[in-house]
Amino acid sequence: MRQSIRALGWASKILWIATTVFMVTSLYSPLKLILERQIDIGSPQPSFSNGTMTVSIPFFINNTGFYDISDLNVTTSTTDCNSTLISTSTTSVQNIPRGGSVNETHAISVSIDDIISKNLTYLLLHDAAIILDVSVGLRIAHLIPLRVSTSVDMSWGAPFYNASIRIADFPEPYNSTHYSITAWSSFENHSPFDVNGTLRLEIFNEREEIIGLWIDQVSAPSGGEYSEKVIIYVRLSKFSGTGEVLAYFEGPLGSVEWRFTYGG
Amino acid sequence: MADEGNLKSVLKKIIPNVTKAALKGFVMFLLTYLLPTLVVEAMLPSSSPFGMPSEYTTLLCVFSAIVVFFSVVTELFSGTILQHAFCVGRAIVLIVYFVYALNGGIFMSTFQIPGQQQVIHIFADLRAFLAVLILINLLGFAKGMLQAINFLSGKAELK
Repeated sequence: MRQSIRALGWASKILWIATTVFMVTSLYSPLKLILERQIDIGSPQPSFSNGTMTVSIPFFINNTGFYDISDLNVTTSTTDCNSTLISTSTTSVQNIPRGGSVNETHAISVSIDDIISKNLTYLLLHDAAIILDVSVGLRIAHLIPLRVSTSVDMSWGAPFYNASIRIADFPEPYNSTHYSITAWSSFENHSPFDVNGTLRLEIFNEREEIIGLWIDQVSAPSGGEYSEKVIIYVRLSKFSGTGEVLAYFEGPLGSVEWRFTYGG
Repeated sequence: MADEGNLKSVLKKIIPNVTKAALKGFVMFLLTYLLPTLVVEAMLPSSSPFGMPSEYTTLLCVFSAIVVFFSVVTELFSGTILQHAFCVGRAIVLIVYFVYALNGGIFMSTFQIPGQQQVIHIFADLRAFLAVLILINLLGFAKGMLQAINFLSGKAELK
């Protein structure tokens, strides 16, 4: 009996010491990386291709902690002020061994098609506040799951901010069959990307018949403005003074269309 | 004269126990409160935004109080059945304490970065730790029970 009591006492003491040391070191391990600045987040790099805007954020982790870091997951969710999900991106790193390091890039992608399909086209035309939820999950020593999350309020710059097509009230006769209509097309590019592509203006009369067409290349650098005075020739017989203008933009950013009314 | 002799023998019995209990209580206080506080302070420099939240300081105080209290009373009542009863009691109290302090093994904390509105949420699944801590205290519980049985059987043998 006494020996078993002694054995239990020793087992209990050894387990106490081992558990306390492991608990303290494993919880301090990720904190050590932060305090020693072994986690570096690079500056975001914007780019776009095939109708998808991508912000790439490079990050570097040097695991100077006491244990391996496994199942590292960086997840970002972007939502608008109405909590509509704009995009979700995840970057995973299987394992960062103790003493090892990792260089990865987390890409936040927003597809124009997604914006249109989720009825978020206002984001293309108006600046807005968006919320970026960042969540980092990892496993310390392959045993303890840890998750750190935060929300960041960000401002979204619309690529076609304040887009407008203004048509002169009084068309001028051009020849016996056509009027010439003066229109002013403009927008400000508040996005971090350059907007380059083709802008097509289609003028419809009130019977929704196409009466005029104008196509041109547009270019608005990030933070810049596009403003153009255009002359569109419309058929005299079909011009009614009121109708709609369909503006259709196509470029590496994707395809976007919006409508404006004129006259009336 | 006889009373004086009785008092002397009682004091002779009590004084070593009280001294031992006080010493053990002090050592336990050093190990369970002072040492962890110093370790946390050493690990987290004052310039860092991280610090031990006040609720955890309170929990550490409670843990230290439990350990010191049971160390003192077990020492004060050493040589009696109460010593073993307190051992069993300490194991049960610590199990309840750990389940409460570790929030059932799910650690959640929120803190604000100084000078910013940003709030950071931390979530850790410490159920594995909790299981080990419960196991350790169950070992302590079993040890206390065995000691109590051993004590009682020893007394019965003497009779």
